[in-house]
Amino acid sequence: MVNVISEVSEEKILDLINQETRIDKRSFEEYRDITVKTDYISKANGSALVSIGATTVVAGVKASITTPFANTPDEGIIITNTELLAIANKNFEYGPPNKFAVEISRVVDRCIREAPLIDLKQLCIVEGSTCWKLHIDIYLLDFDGNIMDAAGLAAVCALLTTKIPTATSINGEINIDENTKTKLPIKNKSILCSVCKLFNQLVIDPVSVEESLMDASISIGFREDGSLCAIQKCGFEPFTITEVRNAINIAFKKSTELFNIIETIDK
Amino acid sequence: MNEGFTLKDEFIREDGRTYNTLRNMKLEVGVLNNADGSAYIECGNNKIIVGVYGPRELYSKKHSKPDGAVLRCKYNMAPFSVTERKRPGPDRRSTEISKLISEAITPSIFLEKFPRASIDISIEVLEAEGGTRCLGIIGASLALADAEIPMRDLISACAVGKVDDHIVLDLSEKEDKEGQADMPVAIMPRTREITFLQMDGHLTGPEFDKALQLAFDGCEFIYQLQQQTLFNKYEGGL
Repeated sequence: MVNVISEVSEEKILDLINQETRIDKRSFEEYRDITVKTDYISKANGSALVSIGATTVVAGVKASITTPFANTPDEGIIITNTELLAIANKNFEYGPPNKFAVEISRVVDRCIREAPLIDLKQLCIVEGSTCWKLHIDIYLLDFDGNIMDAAGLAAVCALLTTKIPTATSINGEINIDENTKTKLPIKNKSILCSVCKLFNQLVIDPVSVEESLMDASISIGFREDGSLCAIQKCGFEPFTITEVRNAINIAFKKSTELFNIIETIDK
Repeated sequence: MNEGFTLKDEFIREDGRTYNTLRNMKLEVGVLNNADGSAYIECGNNKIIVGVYGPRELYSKKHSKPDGAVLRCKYNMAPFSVTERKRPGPDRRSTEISKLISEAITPSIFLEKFPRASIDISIEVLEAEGGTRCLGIIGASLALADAEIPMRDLISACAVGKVDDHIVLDLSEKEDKEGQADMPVAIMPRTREITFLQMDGHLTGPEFDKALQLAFDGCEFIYQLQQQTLFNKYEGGL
């Protein structure tokens, strides 16, 4: 993902940072407009279309019956996958997920799994033989920076609105009642918020051109009670301890805004 | 009587260590014949070998950079390194770890000295018992130094975590699986900057601060071991 930025725009962004503003006139700690549309795909068990500014992500959850993993015989399975579609940006190519896509999947997965957002034990139908498997597929449709937060928000919103059929086991036979659907067993809501270091200034929600110039970023997963459930530092430049602490404080402040958005969709 | 003495200091972990004890660690450099630089690490039952080739010309125009070398890092686990056989070849976990390790190492190297070149690091995990990504970073940094690549500093790394509500250093495989949180950290000890930070599990704000402090202490101890390893190789030989 090499994006060539002209020196003029680089200087412009640096100038603006020194004047405590940004190219779209936002402050350092301000998100672009966030819209969330849930139940977007009717064929999916749960879905959400999330856009942060021009970055648009759709997440779909599909549930199916499978056998649990041998090391967790009493738990259901969640699998997160991200596709950076070639229509989203000129630098994206068709093919198997590259390291950037894999990283997004893994960080979003960690935020959901470690919170834990879903009580996986309740997704088990018969211990050792039958359980629910949830495939969370994240599709990036349009790219303008900050995929991580958009992907995290989309995945969480899709899961919160997911409805799965009730499955019961009668004499070893699995009965699936497609007509009575229930919501997933939600335990702790969680959300991802990323802070990036741009010319030694901590900013949130970078647009594409800022993201190409940034030194490094740190993505932090929060539970609703404000405790941390995931951290990932990406990018080639180091962080100092103070920067990490400041980033966590900023992300915590902004995570409450994201939780308010989640609150509106989760009635 | 020591006034700072609390019950927490007495917490003994499953393998008999206290909260701030590292596992036995053995570091060696220059273990491979053909590689430009190499390192071998044993820590607990972890066995990791790292080889560095480069700087050498990178023929692919698509990947080479006119203003500096490209650092390419591959983290790979042997099929017999874990309890259940791991299918050979890259998977999502190793793709992510490779990306993060190369990002963790990059700030320490003067890449700009080698335009259009590549520096290739291969981290081969022969046996895994928790904490392989940190040991991979330690080994990669040692192997780069062994390859005589100009560097600002060594990179030192260790994991901290939360086990039975206690913040502990250097998690074993069991503690990693059963513990409440795992946080690998890598730093450049001279500038005290963080080049690698991950966390999964559950930590409150104060616990995070404490864990980060413990990680710094652990890293600084490992940094001395790394320096000593390099001294031992070159002592009297120059």
